[in-house]
Amino acid sequence: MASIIILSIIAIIFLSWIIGIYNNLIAKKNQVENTFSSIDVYLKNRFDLIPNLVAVAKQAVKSETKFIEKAISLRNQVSNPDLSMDDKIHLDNQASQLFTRFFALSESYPQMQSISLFKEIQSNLAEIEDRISAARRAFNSAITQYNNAVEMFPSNIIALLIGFKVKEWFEASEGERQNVNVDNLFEAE
Amino acid sequence: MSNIFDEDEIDKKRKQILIVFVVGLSILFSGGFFGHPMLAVALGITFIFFGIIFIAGSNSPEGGLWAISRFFGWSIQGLGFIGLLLLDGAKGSWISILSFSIIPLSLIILPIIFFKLTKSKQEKIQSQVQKRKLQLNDEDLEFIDEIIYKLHDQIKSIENQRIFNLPIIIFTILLFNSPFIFWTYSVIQAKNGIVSFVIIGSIFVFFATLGAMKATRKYAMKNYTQSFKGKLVFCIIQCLGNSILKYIPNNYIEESYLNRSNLFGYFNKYTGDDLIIGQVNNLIFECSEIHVSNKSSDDESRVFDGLFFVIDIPQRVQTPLGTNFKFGRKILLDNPEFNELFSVFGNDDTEAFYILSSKVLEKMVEYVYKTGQSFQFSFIQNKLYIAIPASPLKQFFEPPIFRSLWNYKVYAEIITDFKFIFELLNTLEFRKAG
Repeated sequence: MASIIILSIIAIIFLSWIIGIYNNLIAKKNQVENTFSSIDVYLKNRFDLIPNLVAVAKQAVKSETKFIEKAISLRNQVSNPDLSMDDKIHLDNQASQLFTRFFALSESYPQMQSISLFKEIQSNLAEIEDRISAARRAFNSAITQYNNAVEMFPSNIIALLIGFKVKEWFEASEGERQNVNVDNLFEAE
Repeated sequence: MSNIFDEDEIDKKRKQILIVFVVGLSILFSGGFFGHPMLAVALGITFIFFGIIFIAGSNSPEGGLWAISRFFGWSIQGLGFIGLLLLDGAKGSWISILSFSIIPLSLIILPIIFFKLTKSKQEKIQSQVQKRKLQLNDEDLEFIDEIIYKLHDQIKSIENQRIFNLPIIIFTILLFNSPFIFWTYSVIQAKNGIVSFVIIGSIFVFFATLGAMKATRKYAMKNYTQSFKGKLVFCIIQCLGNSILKYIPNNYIEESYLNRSNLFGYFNKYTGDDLIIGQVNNLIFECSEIHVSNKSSDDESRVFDGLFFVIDIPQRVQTPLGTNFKFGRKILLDNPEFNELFSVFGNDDTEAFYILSSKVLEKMVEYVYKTGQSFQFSFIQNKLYIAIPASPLKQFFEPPIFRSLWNYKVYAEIITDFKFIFELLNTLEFRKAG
């Protein structure tokens, strides 16, 4: 009888430990999703600026037809409500390049800078980019904690059993990492 | 630079009383010394009288024990004078023996005081990290030198004031220690009790000197202290931040801010001084030295001593964020060194990463490494609160007595602390009201 009690106590302790690890993994996964949703919100804010960008470009730089076409195409793509997260990240990279090109154009066409909508885009974009950068840092920090739990013993065993895999970091887009050659922007496509 | 210290504020009456006191004591002292017993008695009574005055007027943050100790010190010295300077007969000798036998009695009080101070020191160390050890590099030293060079004229005039005050201090220290000098004389005459003389005497000299320095700093050097704080410290801070400043020596940050900051535990006693209001990077800040404690009927425990900053930030923080665990769960930021030095709590990771940008984290880490000193902070609504603890028994803006004002060490801590705060304010990027 005594041995049954001891075994039961050991089993309860072991089970509690397993539950603890499981809950910790779930909490970390939720944290990753939560921080990713913040990025999503700010990405949407950035996409929301594209129609304004199109309006300014149409008004001030009609001759840059290629740029305007690209901007309209991107505006149409981001307005699709069924985009996956990968699609959004891909489109966000394109949006980054579009904005870089937009501000480069504003130096060639100073009349753009006098349009009030341009200033609005400029100030909103700065704020949104700061927010995206912070959200990306938060996401990557959550990913690091999650990946540590998925890879480290003994939580890696539980992770394997429930099918948790290592997640990718949210890297800065190529366009943001490199000094963009604005003249060649869009040329490759 | 504007002179924010109004000369009219200096208590002239107090200064006059002090001069009369010092001159009177000098006459009595010399009279008694050269064998006029009645003057010696008058001197003794004066000491006792001032002992009572000190007790009545004590507002020292250490509480009543220091006042009692001061009273003992003054009374003993008074009795000592009465006795020792009446050496013309057996009566005088007995009085002197009686008076100096009180010194060991007073040592019963001193250990209690020492125990109290050590206790609060330990509490502080537990709650507020260790004693400060500044580690300045060449760049910092050069920066301090530049400021000293810029403020050459101000330093020169206040240094003159310090040198002018030195004889008063030395005189006061001698005065405080004079019974000991006479006692030494009597012990040597009697050729016994050398060991007890050395032990008790050295303790006496220490406390008498400490008392003398405290008393002179508070009364004789008030003018010098105010010049140092009001002119020099003010100019240094102004130089650092290129900011518009206002300095109110006898005021301090409102108590409600302490409660709102959520950085301090329960407290029921709060004092402070040296309120500075200014603006850096378009952010308005208030700062003062504060002393927060929790006083019960038989005990007083320190909660916080140090500098407290309240900074208006142009963005409303949605959920509280800071070093208080009550703010939510622990947030691990993307700087491992920072995570080792600070624990940040909050409920919104993205906002935490937004406010605590990589640069802000680096600044905070750099400050802790440089000063060996951690600090507490919180972002609540549209305010940033920062509490930098002082090392035990140290006051931030107190001027040196025996150290020259040309020594960089005098300004090292003030400059390091304010430079950090101003750099932090310049690093914080709030783009618009949220």
